[in-house]
Amino acid sequence: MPRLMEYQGKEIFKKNRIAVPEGEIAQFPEEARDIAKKLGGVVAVKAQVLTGKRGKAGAIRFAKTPEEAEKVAAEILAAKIDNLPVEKVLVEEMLDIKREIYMGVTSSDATRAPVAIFSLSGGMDIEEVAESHPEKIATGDISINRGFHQYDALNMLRKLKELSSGEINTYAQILARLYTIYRQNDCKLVEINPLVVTEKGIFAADARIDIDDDAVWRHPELGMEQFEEAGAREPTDLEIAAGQIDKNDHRGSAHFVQIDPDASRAKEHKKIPIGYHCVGAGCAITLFDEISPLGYSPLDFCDTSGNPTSLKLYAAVKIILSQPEIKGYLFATGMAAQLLDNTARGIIKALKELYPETGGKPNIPCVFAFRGRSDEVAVQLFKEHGISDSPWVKMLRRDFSEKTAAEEFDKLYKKWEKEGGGI
Amino acid sequence: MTENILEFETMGGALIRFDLEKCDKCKTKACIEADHLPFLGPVLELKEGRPSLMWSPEEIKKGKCTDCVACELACQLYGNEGITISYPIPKLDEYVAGLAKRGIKTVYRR
Repeated sequence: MPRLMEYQGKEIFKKNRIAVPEGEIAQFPEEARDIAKKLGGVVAVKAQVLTGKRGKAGAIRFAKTPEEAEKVAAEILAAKIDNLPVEKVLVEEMLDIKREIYMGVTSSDATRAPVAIFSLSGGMDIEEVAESHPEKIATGDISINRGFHQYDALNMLRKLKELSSGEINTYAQILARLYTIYRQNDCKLVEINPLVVTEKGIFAADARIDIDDDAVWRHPELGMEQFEEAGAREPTDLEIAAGQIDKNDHRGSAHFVQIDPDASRAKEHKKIPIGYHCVGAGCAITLFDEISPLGYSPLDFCDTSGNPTSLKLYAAVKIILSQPEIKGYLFATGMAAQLLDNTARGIIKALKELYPETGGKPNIPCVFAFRGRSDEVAVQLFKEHGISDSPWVKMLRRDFSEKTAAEEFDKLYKKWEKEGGGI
Repeated sequence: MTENILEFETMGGALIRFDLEKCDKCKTKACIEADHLPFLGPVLELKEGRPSLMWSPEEIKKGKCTDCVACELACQLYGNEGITISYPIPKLDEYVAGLAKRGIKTVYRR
């Protein structure tokens, strides 16, 4: 999921009048030392990586002197946190914390709308608190049309008897601002955990902002790459390339995620890595269930549906086939309403460009299974262009099932392997 | 665009280029026939024996051309190979070049 680094989130907080600790970003240990000197006193040096639980991973450390800040920053910058390299650290004043609070606005699957969440126990997983101390949590469903105002937050927080009226007022103001950030930036989640109460005031000690991946294109100011959501990890180069396909073109969609980017999982389970491509995610999931037991491991999940242009298919095929570890390519459609002749044209154009010497005939086993509108034209196009004449291409049409598609791929792969293949 | 080149951009960001000198020598004008896709309507017509746009470049860019690549593929098979459609995929070439630097080849380069 496109997520902002803590320091980027804090910039947005500052612009929206949510106080954050004094601090600056450093890319080199010497910079960290200079910042620590400027801030004076004890500082926190925090790795800027897109992973949770940085504290437990040793990615947040404290330094009493500028020299110590330099040393700590050098260690953090040389480390990998959750297998991610650390390119920046945030050097911040250390706060004298009296109390920790949680607040966030997120998208609720249950109400299909935003929900505001407040917890008296900050610094902990909100799910954990919800289970152990539900009385410490207040939530408020938000109407996207009506918005969420300070008085809505006041009504929500009044349920927490532990809070004084002054505290309710202060937190309500921050919560309403959090919602503004959520809406303005097309977020899926905006979270402060913890929001800390100190002698000096109330500060967002951390910032988590997740942007809706379908809305990243609307926020060039955030400087984020558009890519398909792939869990908590950072996107791969191919996912970033695939993210460009839909960027400026709303006609149909291309979703591409690398499930096993370096094929390590396939190797570990002694499975054959393949490129995987479907029209319709339902078909993709069902076919996945059929192909896996036969000993194959799709390295990617790609769904090009919603009647995408031929050029979107072209791009998707080039990206899938650029995964160096693949030993086959399995393409299938569900009973698609989209123009499958267009789908076929995109695939054919890609194959002809990738395999110019053979006129598009691939050197790895490929199954192309078309079901739905214009599927006969799709199959005919492969024939006209001579691609289906390849010994390593199997065309299927209309009457195949996911099971037969997987079995046909298996047969073709075994033949390819037996005969030495085209590689 | 010169006298012998017809070039236009599409909504998807493709650049479509007709080498009209090649089109002059083409006997089939297969692109015109291929362009008549069901429900979508054509964007090409023959004018003075050459493929020409039925719409302004602005309208083409707004989506009149559906990026179906039917013209290019038909031209390759039945025409005179006068059409090229370039559709850059940002970052993909860099990725493949990066693999090559590390001595890794994609399957289609083996």
